[in-house]
Amino acid sequence: MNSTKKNAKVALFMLFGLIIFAGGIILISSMRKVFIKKISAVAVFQDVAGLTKGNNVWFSGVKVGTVESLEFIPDKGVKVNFQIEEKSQQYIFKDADVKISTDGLIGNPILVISGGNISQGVIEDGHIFKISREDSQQDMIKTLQENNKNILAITDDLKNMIASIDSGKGNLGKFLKDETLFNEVSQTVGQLRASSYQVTDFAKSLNQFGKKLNDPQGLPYQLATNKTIMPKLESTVNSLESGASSLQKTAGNAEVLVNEVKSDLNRITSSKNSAFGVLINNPEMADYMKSTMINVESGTEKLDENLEALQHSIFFRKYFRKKEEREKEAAKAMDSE
Amino acid sequence: MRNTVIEIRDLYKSFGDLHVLKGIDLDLYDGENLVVLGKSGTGKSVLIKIICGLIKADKGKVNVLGYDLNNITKAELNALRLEVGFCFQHSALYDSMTIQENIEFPLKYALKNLSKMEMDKKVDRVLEAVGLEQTKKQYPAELSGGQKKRIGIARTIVVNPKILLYDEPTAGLDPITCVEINDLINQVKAEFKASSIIITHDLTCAKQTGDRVSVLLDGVFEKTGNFAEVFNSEASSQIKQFHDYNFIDNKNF
Amino acid sequence: MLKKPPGKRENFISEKIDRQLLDFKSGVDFVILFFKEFSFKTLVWSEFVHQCYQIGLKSLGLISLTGFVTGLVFTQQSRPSLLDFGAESWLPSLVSIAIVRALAALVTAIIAAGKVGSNIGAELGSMRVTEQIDAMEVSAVRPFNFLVITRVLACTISIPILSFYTAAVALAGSFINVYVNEQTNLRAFLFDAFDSITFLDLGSSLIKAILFGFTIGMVSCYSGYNASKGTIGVGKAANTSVVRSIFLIFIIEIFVVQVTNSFR
Repeated sequence: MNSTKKNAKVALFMLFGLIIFAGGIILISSMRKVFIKKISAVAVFQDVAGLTKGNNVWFSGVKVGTVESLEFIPDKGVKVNFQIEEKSQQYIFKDADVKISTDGLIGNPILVISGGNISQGVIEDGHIFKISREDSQQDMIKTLQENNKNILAITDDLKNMIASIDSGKGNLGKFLKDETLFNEVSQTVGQLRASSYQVTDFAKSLNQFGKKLNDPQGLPYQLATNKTIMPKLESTVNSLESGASSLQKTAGNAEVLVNEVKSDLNRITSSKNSAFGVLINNPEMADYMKSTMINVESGTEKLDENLEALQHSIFFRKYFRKKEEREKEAAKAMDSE
Repeated sequence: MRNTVIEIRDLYKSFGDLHVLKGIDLDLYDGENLVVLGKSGTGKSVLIKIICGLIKADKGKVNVLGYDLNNITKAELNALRLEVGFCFQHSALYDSMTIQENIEFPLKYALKNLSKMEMDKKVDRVLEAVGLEQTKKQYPAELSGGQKKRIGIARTIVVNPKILLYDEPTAGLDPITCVEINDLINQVKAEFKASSIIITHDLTCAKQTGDRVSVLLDGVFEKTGNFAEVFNSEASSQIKQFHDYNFIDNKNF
Repeated sequence: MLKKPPGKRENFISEKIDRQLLDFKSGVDFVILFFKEFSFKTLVWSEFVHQCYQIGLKSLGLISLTGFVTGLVFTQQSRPSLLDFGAESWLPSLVSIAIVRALAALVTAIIAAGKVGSNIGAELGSMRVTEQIDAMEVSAVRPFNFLVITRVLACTISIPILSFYTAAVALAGSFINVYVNEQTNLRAFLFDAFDSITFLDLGSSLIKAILFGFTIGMVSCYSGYNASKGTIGVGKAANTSVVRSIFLIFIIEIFVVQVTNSFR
């Protein structure tokens, strides 16, 4: 190859290489703000938390300078010499303070200038900043550690509670663990259901009786046409009927409820760490349930009594007797067939 | 009495336990061709490499053009090398350069003081002398063995040396090319007025180019004189044997 | 004179180790000779420029390709780790630090050791074997000046320049990857990339590249210049050039990193 051409190519190669290198230097310089006029400033910290030469100085989140050097001062801590761009000087006031923070959660340490009042005037070259302490990551971790300990204590308590419920201590524990108590409740509910069936039967009969009362030939009609007694009687029967069906529903619901409660509680007891145990470890609730049961029981007893009384009243005695006879006839017919 | 350009006295050289040269005396006179004959491995090449300063002698006096090679500075050695040309056995042309660049090489990097035009002129002259003007732009790999030898000689004579050292100039060439090379050696002697030492084991070459012939046997010169004197009937059995292997027909002398 | 007691060892340690030690010593002598002989006055400029062309320009394509791929792949492979921290915005600075501090010089040097080192080793080896070096010497041209100094100097200058190219091309590769994946623009990329690089990084990288270049040149020239006779010698010289160069490159890398870190 022509040597001039070769020389030119080599020169171009070298030139481009040097341009790249120079470009690198210029870019770094502009990042490091090498060619920008700066003023120096000082702050003395007890602990610089890993701050080193070259770390950034921020003011209101904007990079305004870099840390120049660090030196120990006996008994006082570490003196940090840093530089601030001259053009930012006008915005930083004399009473502003500096603290050491980090760039992001796991970033480099940075020096953060904050606060300051315009009335104090702007800083000058060699300004000594007062320092403020920021919760360092160490502090955050300490707090987290305390939180952890608290959570541990709470879970320990919960564990103990569940354990005592499981071993049958306390009202809830007794309720869950005592088989006889559960059986009683279950039995009561059974009875409740049987009673409700009876009530339904009775109400049906009452309804039929009511219809017969409408027969204008019958005495009952006569009686019933009495404008004052009859409407009352009618409404009584209707309420009785609806009362009975809702009672039946209640009984069904109560059974489902009891079963659910049992399975829930079993779950809770089997899972000893469940915080839910705390919620149900409440004596009031147990008392309340017990009293409810008692009320339901006495309610049914009273209903039985009322029905008995109704059979013997003069208004219904005939009806019941006829009903008895009809039933007997029906039974005979059934037998003869 | 003619001028002595090379004077060697009692020269010894060994490589480890191998004693190659065992007390050599040699004189090269101005304008003569001295052929050093010998079998392979007898130290012929070592001898001329000592003369051009490529190898240092163990013992003995080596005086070339007034320079004592045992006490010579780098600058003196460089100056001496411009006066002593060396033609290598395998030409040793620079593969990466064209023929022109090969021949220019010593002018450009050793003499240094020539203009481009002067260099071109010198290159043309030697190429013409060796008859290979057309190969100027070619690379050594494109040339035949004989052409390479010629270019090797051209590169050596381009600086006008006073002494030429030929290392096996005809080795590996066909007989016709051998004769051409022998003629070239004689032509160079006539044209460039250089004294030469020709190392060879080829008696034809020795006969055609040598004013004097020295036979190197077992590290010493067995006999020196013109071709006829050396290979006369009184020659030792070893010289005779050497001769007989070269010329199967004995009538030649 | 005392006679050697019978049974005394011929070798200092063993024949093989002695040979290695002698080789090392002659290598050191070769380096010393370089500094003794080196002078801008006697430098053969035309050959130096030719070698810069051979070593620098002719390797540019290969080096550029390698650099580009290095930047691209390094960025790609680093992304998942940073993604775990949600810190993929750190990719430019991570990659630029890796490229400027280590990869650019190292990749360039290793490629150059392979390409340039073997070339010089084989070239000088064959010149030695075919007596071209002797021919130079008897032509009153100092072959050491002509062949060794020019090549070593060309390596010492060209390889740092190649490493700048590598760095630039690798950063370009990295930028393309970041642009495609995170849509970061060039300005933001350069800002992030150069914010984390210091003059120390750039300086140590430059010094490293210069040392790498010098080493490749020196080792290859030594291997070729001292090649033993025969074609085997040429192959061996080329091979030795590459192997020793790469080995020394890593040793130098370790040392320079240690020294640089002491300044941080």
